[in-house]
Amino acid sequence: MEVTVRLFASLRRHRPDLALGQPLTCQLPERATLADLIQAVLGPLPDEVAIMLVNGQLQAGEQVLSEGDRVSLWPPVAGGAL
Amino acid sequence: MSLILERIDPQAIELSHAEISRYSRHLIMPEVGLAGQKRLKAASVLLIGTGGLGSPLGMYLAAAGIGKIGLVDFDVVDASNLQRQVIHGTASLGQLKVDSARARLLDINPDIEVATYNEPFTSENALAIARPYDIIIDGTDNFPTRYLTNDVCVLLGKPNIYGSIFRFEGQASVFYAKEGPCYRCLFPEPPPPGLVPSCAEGGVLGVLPGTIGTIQATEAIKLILGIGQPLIGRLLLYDALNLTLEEVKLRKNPRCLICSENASIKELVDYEAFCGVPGHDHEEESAGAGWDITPTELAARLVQGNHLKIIDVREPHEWDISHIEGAEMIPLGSLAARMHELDSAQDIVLQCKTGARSARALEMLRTAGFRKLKNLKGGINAWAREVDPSLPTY
Repeated sequence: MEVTVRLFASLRRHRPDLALGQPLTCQLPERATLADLIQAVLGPLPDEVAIMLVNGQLQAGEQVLSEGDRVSLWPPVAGGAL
Repeated sequence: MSLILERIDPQAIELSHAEISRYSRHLIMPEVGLAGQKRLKAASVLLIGTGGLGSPLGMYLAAAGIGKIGLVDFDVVDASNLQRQVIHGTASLGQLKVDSARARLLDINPDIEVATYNEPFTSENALAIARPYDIIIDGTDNFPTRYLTNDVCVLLGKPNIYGSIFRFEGQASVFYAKEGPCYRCLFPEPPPPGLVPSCAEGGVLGVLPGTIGTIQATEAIKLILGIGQPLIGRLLLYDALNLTLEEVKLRKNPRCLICSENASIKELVDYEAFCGVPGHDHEEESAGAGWDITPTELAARLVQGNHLKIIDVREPHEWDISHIEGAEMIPLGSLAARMHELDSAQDIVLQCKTGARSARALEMLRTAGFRKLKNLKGGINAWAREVDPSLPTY
């Protein structure tokens, strides 16, 4: 199945090969989970992913993905003053 | 009626003729009107941080006529602030940020009161500083202060208007434990120390805090006026590159350590220990006792003709701004793959912008068995200040 994933904020730096601001299209086996997708896209970096959205809804790593899902991955972000 | 509204009492508030002229565009909207403007005047808001987010926040809240604004910061205005911290100007370089900000706010609106707290916001002073205010706004730059601000708001029963930014993205929400989730419901644990870069390290598009800060200011004004739908229980995720705003519904975490029924946190804790990092961005990072070399020590060793290799772990676009003669660039992200190019028998000095990334590089090499390592304390910016003033600092 095919899903699209967008990386935000500091997560972008792990995939400098991706065009800035563009989503990545991923081919995954049927019944793949959000955690599988993160492994495929970012490798073993689960600690840096704090917010996982599937089609705009907060989900956990066990969430099973479906064809056409839109995934957004965010790290925690703390900047603001300096 | 929202709980926040009950705290604010506009009964005894009067507006002068000058104030009525000033707030004319509010007063002619029935959703604000005279009653709403008096509520704004009766309200008090505490801003934690007078930097990127605090700039638009402070200025719009002052202009809107918030009666009392508190400013917490302990920094001074630096040239590198001016690209986005529009509350400060070139003339205020070197001044305390709270003084510079206070002068700007009183210039915008002399009818308000501005209180300043030139000190770090810590577990020791936070409750006392925050207690008199109706609304707390989080415009800080680090995880320990964000958890501290959250816990202060939960313990005192106040709304925490949250905003944070990094490079091209921002987040905003209103964490108000009496009516919805808190920051810990969304982020129960801080990220591992050093994993998530700060704006000082990663940069930030100058206009971005303007967008997020004005969203926070809007929420503060709505909460005070009691109009519209507040961002309680919703998280806004802003992507400036694609100009999209994604909204996510947040739920209260039934196991939240501070705002659930079974909360175990009853008082403020040690947030630096909790997050494993200091409660403010250090411009200059140390690699730990015995591993640092100062710019002057490095210059002396180079003059003596010592054979040492300087490895610059910054990115190519930073190398273009400034670099040390004779240094070699291996960006931190490539270091693991290119470690084999280094000779562990040779003295190696690691260097970045301010010493934080090179301290991490040192740790990586040390773990890999390298021993003849030093971290340039304060990075190339300190080198430029202390040894080679022909280089710019950034």
